[in-house]
Amino acid sequence: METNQYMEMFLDESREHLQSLNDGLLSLENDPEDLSVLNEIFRNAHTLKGMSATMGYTKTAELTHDMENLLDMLRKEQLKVSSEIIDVIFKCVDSLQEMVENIGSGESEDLVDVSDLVRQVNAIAKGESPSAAAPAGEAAPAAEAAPAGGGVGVELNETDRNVMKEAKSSGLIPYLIHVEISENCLLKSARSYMVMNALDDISDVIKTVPPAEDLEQEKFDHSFEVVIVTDADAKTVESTVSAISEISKVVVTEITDLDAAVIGGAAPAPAAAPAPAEEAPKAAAPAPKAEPKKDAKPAAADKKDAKKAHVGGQSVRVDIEKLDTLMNLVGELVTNKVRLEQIGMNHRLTELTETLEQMDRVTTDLQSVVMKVRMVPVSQVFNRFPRMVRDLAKELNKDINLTIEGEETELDRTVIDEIGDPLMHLLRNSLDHGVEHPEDREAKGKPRTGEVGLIARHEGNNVVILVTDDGSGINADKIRNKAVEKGMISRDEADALPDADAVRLIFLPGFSTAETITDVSGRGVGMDVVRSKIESLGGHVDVETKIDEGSVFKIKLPLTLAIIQAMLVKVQNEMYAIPLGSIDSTINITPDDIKTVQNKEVIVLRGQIIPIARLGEVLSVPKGEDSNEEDIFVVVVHVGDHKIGIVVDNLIGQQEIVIKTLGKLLSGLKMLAGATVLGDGHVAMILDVSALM
Amino acid sequence: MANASEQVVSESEVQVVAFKLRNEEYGFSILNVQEIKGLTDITRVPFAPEFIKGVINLRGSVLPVIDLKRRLGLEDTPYTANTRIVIVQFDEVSVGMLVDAVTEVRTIDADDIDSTRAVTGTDANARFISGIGKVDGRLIIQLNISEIIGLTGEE
Repeated sequence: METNQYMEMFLDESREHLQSLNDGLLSLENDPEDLSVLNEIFRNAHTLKGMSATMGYTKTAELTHDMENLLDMLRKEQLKVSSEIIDVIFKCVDSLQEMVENIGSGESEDLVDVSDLVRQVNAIAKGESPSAAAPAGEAAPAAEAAPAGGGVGVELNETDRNVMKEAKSSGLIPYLIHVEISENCLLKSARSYMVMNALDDISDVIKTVPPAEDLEQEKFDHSFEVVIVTDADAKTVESTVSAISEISKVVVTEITDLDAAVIGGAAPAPAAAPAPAEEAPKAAAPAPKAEPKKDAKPAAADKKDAKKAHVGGQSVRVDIEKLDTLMNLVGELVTNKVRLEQIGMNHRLTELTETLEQMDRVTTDLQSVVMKVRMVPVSQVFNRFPRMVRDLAKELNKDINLTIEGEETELDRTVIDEIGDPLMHLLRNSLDHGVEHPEDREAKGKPRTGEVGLIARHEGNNVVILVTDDGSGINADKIRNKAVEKGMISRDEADALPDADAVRLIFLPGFSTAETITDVSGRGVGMDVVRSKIESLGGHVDVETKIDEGSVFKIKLPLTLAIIQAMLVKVQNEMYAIPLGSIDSTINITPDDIKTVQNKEVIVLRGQIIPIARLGEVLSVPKGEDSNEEDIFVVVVHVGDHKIGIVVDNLIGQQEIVIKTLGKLLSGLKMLAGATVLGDGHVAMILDVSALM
Repeated sequence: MANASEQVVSESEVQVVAFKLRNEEYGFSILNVQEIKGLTDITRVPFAPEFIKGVINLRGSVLPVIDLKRRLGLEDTPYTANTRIVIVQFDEVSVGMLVDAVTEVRTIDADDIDSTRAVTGTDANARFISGIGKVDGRLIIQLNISEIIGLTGEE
């Protein structure tokens, strides 16, 4: 029992530290020189190590220890922060996260294989520190061993040549770079990655031979070719690349014949072509580097401020179940108060009634306070997205800038827990299908970096979350064709749909527009899953899109799931609650208004034919005495675009109800969304109208 | 909880809450009984398994109530002033059990509890019974709560 107590604490705190590690690494990546961030990361790792060691999770502790060593070297500037190192640390954090979750679900931490990771971490720690000091000395002998001027020819296609020509006309110089990695290098892919990364900083990479994926997977010998355009001179390029350790030879050649289909190769590469544009770049080269740094600094400062504010407020961790119990008790208090009021009225006790009025105010306040306690900021979900977007953008070779707004907006805990997956899905979609590749964006005259936004804000009694991108938008005609092809609607129906409605077809089950199935999204389970999830939360999702300007997915969510507005209806002696969110209208009809179509009962409402369901029959309510047959009450509800009329005996009225689950034993019953306790202490079932369809 | 139980029950005896269903006497281990409640309004739950009478409001929580007679295949009897709902807890699930009357809390010597096979044989309801206790010439049928709740998934 006592270890359990510590366990909860361990898991909670580990998760917190892992999250800060993630945040810290992201800001470190933006601003590699910010030592204060590094210190913060180091402290997090250190605490994590201590905690897991105390709890006896040796493997977790060991990995954290290795990671901490690496961080320590970075902190003491024995190692320079590189994208490669950050990637490895990110991987460590991922594995640690997995381990912690395994521990949390009662499994062994050993399930995660970290041996490879530990090897990588140690390789960086050992391999890099001595060599970093003397890369030149090591490079020289190796260069002699390598075949001089070797390398394969680089084939350039029409687009590549055009890009180069364009670049040249705007003052940039195209280069062919031949890079050789020393023979005894163990992590060739890491080295090539570092080269590409370094080149990325000072130039635009047009092409590599072999292609980038092969480089990453070490599918090359000891040399590769890169075609770049840059405003830097050949010497700068050469020194940038050769500064990376274990690079034995770098040959930079300016590409002069921009119409040649094949460059380099057999032709002996002239050693480092004389820099033709020496005067211009020197000043220009450092400038772009300085700029992002300026951007990053205030961002980092903001973060720190936010953190300080977080530390300032004191908080207590409370088990959500305890809050539910508290909520129940408050509900019970209200119920008892209603009974007392009844007594006061029956016996005409004015003194009691007055006191109860006072009590009424207190209980109402109490209820709203308890509700507020359950609210948590959406940042709890949003937090994990910057990291996901970063990884995904890398994987997809896209430049993406994620902007998050309104992360302090609060939502009920139950909604927060459920909203993560749909949001993740929408973001993945935006990244994969929305934002174009940098080259395509340039061709369209847009900035290379795609903007993706995640914005939360209050709108009346709802919270709205927007997922925006400035990508290619959704082509309504494509959607129409696809829907017709899949037999979801007829050609005529499709053509009759306005663009805005046609785009909404993506929310129908079985619709996936991705032409090629990628690893990221488009596995057939698509937007319909997002929609059904959000609707099960009592929310609503919609999309607006403009070709080549981007798309906006708008999710509207209720503030809380625990309390909803509902219409109470009566069938015989049973009371049911229908969520107001799904009610279109309530109408009063006579038996003559009910028509039949193919033996199914329907009514005509404002020219629309609506099928009806008699609630008493659907729920097999025991028949009491014959009820009034002349007056028929119909509650018209909608699910998506479908409408159905529910026939009930009586409408009781609109009320705020607290949703309770039916528990394990009665879970998964069709047509029921839960139960609620009414003011008089009776239990009423809440209908799930979507099951009526 | 766990410590308290060890004090109440030594190895050689068990305490049971005994109650009546028709004219037979049954019992739950006292460790599973949370409280005993008078009859309150039970709300029918559409589409629920047949043996579930409905749900009640227990201090703001919604609790299912099992009609024990129906669960054990006994004939129904009307409610009386003695009808009670015994709230039992098993595996963190709280459930009400509808019984005709609660008689007493008894301590039964473990030696006086027979295994059931001799009595029930291959009866389909045998799984609901964990043993039969003999006290002062009365028989108290011990019920297996986990089978009665039926969370094992056969319902």
